[in-house]
Amino acid sequence: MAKTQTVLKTDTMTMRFGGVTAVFQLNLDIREHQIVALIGPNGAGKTTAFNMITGVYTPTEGDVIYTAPGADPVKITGKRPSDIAKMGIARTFQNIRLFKDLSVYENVMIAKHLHLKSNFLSATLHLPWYNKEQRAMEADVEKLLRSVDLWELRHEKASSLPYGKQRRLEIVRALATNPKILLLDEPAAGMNPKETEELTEFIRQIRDEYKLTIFMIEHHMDLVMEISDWIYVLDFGMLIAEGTPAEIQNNNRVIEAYLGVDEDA
Amino acid sequence: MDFLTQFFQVIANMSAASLAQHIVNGISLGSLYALIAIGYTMVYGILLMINFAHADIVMMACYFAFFGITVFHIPWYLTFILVIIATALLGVVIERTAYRPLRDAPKNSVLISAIGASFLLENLANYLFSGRPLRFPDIPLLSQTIGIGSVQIQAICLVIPVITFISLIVLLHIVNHTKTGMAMRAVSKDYEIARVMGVNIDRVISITFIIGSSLAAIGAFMWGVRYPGITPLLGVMPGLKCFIAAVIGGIGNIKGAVIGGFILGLGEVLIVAFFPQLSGYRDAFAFIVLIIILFYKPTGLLGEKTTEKV
Amino acid sequence: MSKRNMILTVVGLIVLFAGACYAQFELDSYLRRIINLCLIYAIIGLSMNLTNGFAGQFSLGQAGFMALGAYVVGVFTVPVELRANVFYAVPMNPLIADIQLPLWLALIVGGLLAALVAFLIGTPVLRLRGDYLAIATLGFSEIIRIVITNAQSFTNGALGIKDIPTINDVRYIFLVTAIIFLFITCLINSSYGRAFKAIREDEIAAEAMGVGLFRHKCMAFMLSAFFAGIGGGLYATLLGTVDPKNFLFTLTYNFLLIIVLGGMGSITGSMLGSIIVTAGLEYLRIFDEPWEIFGTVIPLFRPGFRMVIFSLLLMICVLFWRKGIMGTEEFTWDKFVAFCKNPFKYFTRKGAKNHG
Repeated sequence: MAKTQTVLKTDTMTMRFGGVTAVFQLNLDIREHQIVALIGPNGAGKTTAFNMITGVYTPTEGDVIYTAPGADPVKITGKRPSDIAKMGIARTFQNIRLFKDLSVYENVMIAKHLHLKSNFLSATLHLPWYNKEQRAMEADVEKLLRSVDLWELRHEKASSLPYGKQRRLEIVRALATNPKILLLDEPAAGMNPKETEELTEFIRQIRDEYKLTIFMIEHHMDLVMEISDWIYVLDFGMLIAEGTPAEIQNNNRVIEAYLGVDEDA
Repeated sequence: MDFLTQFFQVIANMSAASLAQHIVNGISLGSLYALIAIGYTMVYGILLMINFAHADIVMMACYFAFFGITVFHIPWYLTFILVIIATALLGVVIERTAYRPLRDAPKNSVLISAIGASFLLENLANYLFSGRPLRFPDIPLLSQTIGIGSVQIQAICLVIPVITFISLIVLLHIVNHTKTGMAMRAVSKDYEIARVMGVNIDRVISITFIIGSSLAAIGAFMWGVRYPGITPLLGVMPGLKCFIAAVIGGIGNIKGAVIGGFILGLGEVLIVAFFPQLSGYRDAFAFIVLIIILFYKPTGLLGEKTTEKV
Repeated sequence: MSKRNMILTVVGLIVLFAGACYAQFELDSYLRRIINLCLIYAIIGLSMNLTNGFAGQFSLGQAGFMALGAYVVGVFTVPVELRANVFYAVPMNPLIADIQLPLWLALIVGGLLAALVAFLIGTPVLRLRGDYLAIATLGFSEIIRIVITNAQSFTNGALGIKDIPTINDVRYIFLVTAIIFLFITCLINSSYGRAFKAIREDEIAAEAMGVGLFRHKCMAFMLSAFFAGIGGGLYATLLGTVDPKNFLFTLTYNFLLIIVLGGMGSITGSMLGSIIVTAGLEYLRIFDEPWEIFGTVIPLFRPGFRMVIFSLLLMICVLFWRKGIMGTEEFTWDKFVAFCKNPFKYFTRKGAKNHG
């Protein structure tokens, strides 16, 4: 597969909590329109890497560089998460963080707020230009919700949805921010094989439809091997391998990291 | 310019003796703040809540002392012990009734409950003991003035730092060298893990409230001797300042609370000493320090940076 | 909003305004005063709900913001010729001695001043852990009293300001309340209102969705202060006098009870809460008077008992009835119509939904 342009790059990105190094000198290079997976055993520092990219944590050392399509690369290290979201990087969370007491509809509408141009006064007074924006937002959200069969459930509380639908809602909510890059933190966690298969299809579909680059953390190897264009493997905060699914499957260090090394061997 | 000339006049007129006196006053006020601030910081460290009622526990302790000595004529040293016991009990009762039922509730509900408890105590005191200020019983041994050289100092001002120091040593011993103390530190480090590891959370929390309230009672008793007017709202201002002291020192950190208490106590007294024209704004000092600290070092002087797990 | 609901809202407001006119002409001044107090408390309850209920930021500064609004009204609406009489101890500062503002302007200036101060407090505090805001605002509301007491040439210090032109006019206060009510309702139903709620629900998720935390918290906090300032200004015109003791931090607890009772995060709940709390506090006054039954005085009832009950109510509410009357629900015309069509079915369906 031909390599496309780099959209997200990390340069010796490191995170230390007190004396513990969660991620050490991580270099990632994520190419446009690809599906890239970040795998590794529990506690390898995968979510920490996500948190640094999305601005939840500021890396102790190193940089995150983002290149929006048709723009120059910019350092986004240490920017606020909300600014990073505005630049086009959206994410989901490992343990689903929906706005639980709000409706499905409101959950997605909130993600549209970041592109709102009207100020609070014109919004409150529902002035014509705000109403126009609001209608555009509503149309977008309707389209998104219909595409994942959540439109009928739009008035339900987010927390009342079944687990699989909550995951979907979270992805749709992230999509509503019009991202260029979508970070998915264990999207298939807790799903059965059939649901995982559907999700695989869904991820491909949104990648093509919204021209996204997808970067995901995932433990379901079937899913990872099937859809990834490139895979990074993290262990104890360090990158131990990268490559195509075929390369990773045959990499000894990866197998060791997952299965543990037999002392006697 | 007026301001500066006045300031220099004050300095020129200040003798070494009166400076010493101000410093002693500042240290004794700081010690009182420290004693009360420890209660805030310990509860915050474990339950992550502002115990608004702590200020009113101080107030109640003053009333207890009043009843013990003035009404029931119990000798003051016995009253001192009884007040500590009664106040500790009050602290535990508040925790059981107002905070424990809300342990899994949203944080704001607990905060409201704490405010409710505080308001209830204030109103109860107002109703039971009337809003008129009562006079804290006079204890001649403590309230007499002693002269050291040309410095005239109330005995209590010398007693306060000593008692505070002793209480601190005992407290630090409990926290650092006993099993209970270890449990307390564990709960404050990670509530969930401590619970899973079999720490009896309810017991730890009760003990925290006992310790915090006892220290508040000691502080309140000495507060009463030093500033003898007792009113139902007596605890509010010191309470606010002591919470601020805890924040300045780094919330959850006992030594930090003590340092914060001294900074506020000394600062307040010295500012009034050097800028008498600002004496009306004396109570505002703590809040200005708070804003400055929050701006430059939000975790406080000794606080650790914590990161929320996402 | 559908056309039907719009018409119902307009009709509802007209009916209420007619009620206000009736009250103005037919009721005695004591009752009018209570109604006005209800309305003013509703404004301040709403303002507090905006930060505490919708944006989820726990602020306790309402009494302080009210004081700012009340003093702006107090200082600038007292007729110039009466001022020497009011400021008899220390004459009024010449900077402001000749400035007299009409009430509406003074209200807005008071609101803006409160919003400015909210910005100054909010800038350092709103970036931090939520509960620091509670302490900082509580402290501020005490500091503002200290400043007012000490700035005697502006505020007449502890003596307070007398001779503020009073308006015990239900219509005027009703109109202001209605405007603020509509404003806050529209704000909450706009994209910004949704952003506030997102912050309340989950700060980290909200931020990841591009909602700037500080900007939106600050916005909610400043708007809240603005309306509390206006409420405070109206309060001053209702009392006719202000002094620093009117604005003890315990005043804030009234509004806390209003929003807890009505439901944190419900606008109509705050309206209901303010009526219940204000009327209740008036009614509870009988507990402060001694009761005599068959010639014996019951010692339970004496001054202060009312506030004990009041604080117990707050405790009971938060311990056993955390959602309050409305929770985060609102009164809506749709529900109202459904209820009118079939009251029995309305409740059974609602009940079924709650269990399901």
